[in-house]
Amino acid sequence: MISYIGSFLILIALLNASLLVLARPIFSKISKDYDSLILSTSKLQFPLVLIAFICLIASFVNDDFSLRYISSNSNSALPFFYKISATWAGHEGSMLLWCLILSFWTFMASIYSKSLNIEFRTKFLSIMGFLNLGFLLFLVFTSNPFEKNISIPIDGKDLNPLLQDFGLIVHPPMLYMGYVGLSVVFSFAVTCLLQNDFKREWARWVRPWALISWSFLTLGIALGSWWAYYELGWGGWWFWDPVENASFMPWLVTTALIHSLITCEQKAMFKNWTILLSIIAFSLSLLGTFLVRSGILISVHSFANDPARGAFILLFLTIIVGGSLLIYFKNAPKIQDNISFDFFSRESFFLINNILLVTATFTILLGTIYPLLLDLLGLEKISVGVPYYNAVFLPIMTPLVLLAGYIPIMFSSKSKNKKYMISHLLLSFLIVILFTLFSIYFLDNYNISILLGIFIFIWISFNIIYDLIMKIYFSNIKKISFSNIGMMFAHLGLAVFILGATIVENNKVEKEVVIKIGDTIQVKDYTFEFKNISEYEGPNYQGIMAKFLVYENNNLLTELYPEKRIYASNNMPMTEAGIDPGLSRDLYITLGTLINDDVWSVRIYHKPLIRLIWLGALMMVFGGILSVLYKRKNLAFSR
Amino acid sequence: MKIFKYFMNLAILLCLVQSMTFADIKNNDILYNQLITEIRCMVCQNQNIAESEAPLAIDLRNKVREMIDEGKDKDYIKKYLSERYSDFILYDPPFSPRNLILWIGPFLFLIIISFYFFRKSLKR
Repeated sequence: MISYIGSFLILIALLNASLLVLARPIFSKISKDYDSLILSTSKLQFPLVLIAFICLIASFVNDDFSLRYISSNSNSALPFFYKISATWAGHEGSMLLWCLILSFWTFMASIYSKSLNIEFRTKFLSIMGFLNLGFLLFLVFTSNPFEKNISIPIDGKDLNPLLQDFGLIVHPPMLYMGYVGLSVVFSFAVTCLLQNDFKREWARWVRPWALISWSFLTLGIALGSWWAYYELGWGGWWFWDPVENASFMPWLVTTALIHSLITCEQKAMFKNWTILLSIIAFSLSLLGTFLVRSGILISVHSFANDPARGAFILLFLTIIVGGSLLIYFKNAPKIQDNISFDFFSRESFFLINNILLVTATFTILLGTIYPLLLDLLGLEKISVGVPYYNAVFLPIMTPLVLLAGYIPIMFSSKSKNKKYMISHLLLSFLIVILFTLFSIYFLDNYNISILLGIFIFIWISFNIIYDLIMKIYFSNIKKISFSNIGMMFAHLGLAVFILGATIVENNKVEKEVVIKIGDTIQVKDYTFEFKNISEYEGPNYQGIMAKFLVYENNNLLTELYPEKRIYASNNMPMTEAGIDPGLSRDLYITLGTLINDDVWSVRIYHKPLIRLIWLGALMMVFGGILSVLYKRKNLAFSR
Repeated sequence: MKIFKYFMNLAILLCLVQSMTFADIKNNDILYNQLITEIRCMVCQNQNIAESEAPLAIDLRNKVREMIDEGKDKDYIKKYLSERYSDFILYDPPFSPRNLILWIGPFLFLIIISFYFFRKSLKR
């Protein structure tokens, strides 16, 4: 019964989205009042899809196996919270989540766009409506979560065991909030093209949307990395998997965008470039959806493979990307954009930032699609992974993060004296070098890349903290705005992330051992004692749990319980790592295979500073949100 | 400025000395752990052999371990694997004419867009 309501509401939402799209071209000829139709339909979309979504959740909770999607993604023995998160675990439900979030952003855009002039506003909302319509059509025709089973099975097939985890509850919604938030920026950019103008106050309006999408993307990616780290059982936090790349590319372009929007707003420069970045950012998030959802990549994430879906998304992608680029090349030359600056200027460095970020994005795009292209051309398949990105991506990012340590400070001070700046640069460089060399004292292993990582960390954080102290003690404290503090936090987060990533990648200790119950093994300063092994019954799996005692200098530190679980649904053994998290290091144990009685293969990892990777990301998110709050407070400008 | 130069030289020297002495340590564990994350499990969906528990991945891990214990170096092991399983098994695509665009594309892209933007927008 509930599922019928959901199904019905999706159709109503489809109708509503069609009204929103057609209001301008058709109803404007009949009635003058099409504005209010656009405003109300753009708001109505969200409650419609929300209730449909709640209907799907309710059907999951009620074990309504008459729905094909539920019978293949749930089971009556599935714990309650996983029944809720199973709603977006498969393809159909995650597309409904996508539609829900798109309607949410449409709703927000409709509410917070009062300051835009009415013609701009209605065009902008119509484009949002077009995106809503496209995704709803995709949902209804290729991926309807409310589709019925021909015969009702007694029980469901169960949720993929990898996904029965807290990570599934938080990671996809946060990531989608980011992906789809970019639709606001995209629609806005296309509207600017249709209006042949990009005013400074418009740049000011759109920046918070870019910032909030960026913050959600950062959070979503960080959650995904954290989830993969503890769930996949080999202690990696980033694999350069095509699906990870699909989320990282829009992130990089959005990072470029939030920087170029500053120049747009303050100097009215780079208007066309900023519009192009907005289009690319959303196109890349659509491309990501295409890559993941079409099953073109064989990857842990593509559990849904269906050529019809791929064809639809490809068509939609072509319309959106091709259409917007066509409008871009036709109308962009009409937008007045006088770019002219000295090499030694803030604008010049923003441009370098953008060039490096876009090149980094291009590198990842190339690494992701090159193997696909070779495959398509019938050539021998290749794999592109960590070694490639270490060799190509890192050299492109290194100058960028070096600049992030100095440029924001250099141009935030009012003095434009070049001599002063250069002597200041040299002085701080010297101090940071000294700190870096001093840090060797604390390390038990170091090489050139560790030193570079530490240098970058100290370089960024020293300059930011120095600048903050100078501002507080030697100038008026009121000058520091929220958005400036936000920038500092985000850049500090970047520094913390780099420190964590460098140290863990260079100084981690990984041991793969065969160990008998009762034996001990030494890893760094820790002694691991394999105490016993026990079996237990989980709600929908059989568990085998090992008990390890961990000693630090002969004092009991903690107990760890790595597990293997065999789920009734697919008989594949899943590993659950035993982790002792800490700011300075993680201890990480996974249980391998049984060699013979009482003898197991076990992996023990010592991961120094790995938590800084996610702490840094959280600091970036916090910085982004601070800047948004500031912007929202100051959004009173004339119509 | 003289003092600054002195420190710079000292720092560079220190870095060089350190990188030479530490990078060359042949630590079998480190090499093993690095290699198994750079080898694809051929029967899995985009997993490396460190991650996978498939029988093939376990066999390959043992084979890599064996070769390292025999004193074989990284290049030898990679060549050994790619000859048997094709380049697809390596996450490190070889620098060959077929992969030329992959390897130099990013740097060409960087040069082209830098040139385009700066020529257009710098004050004459």
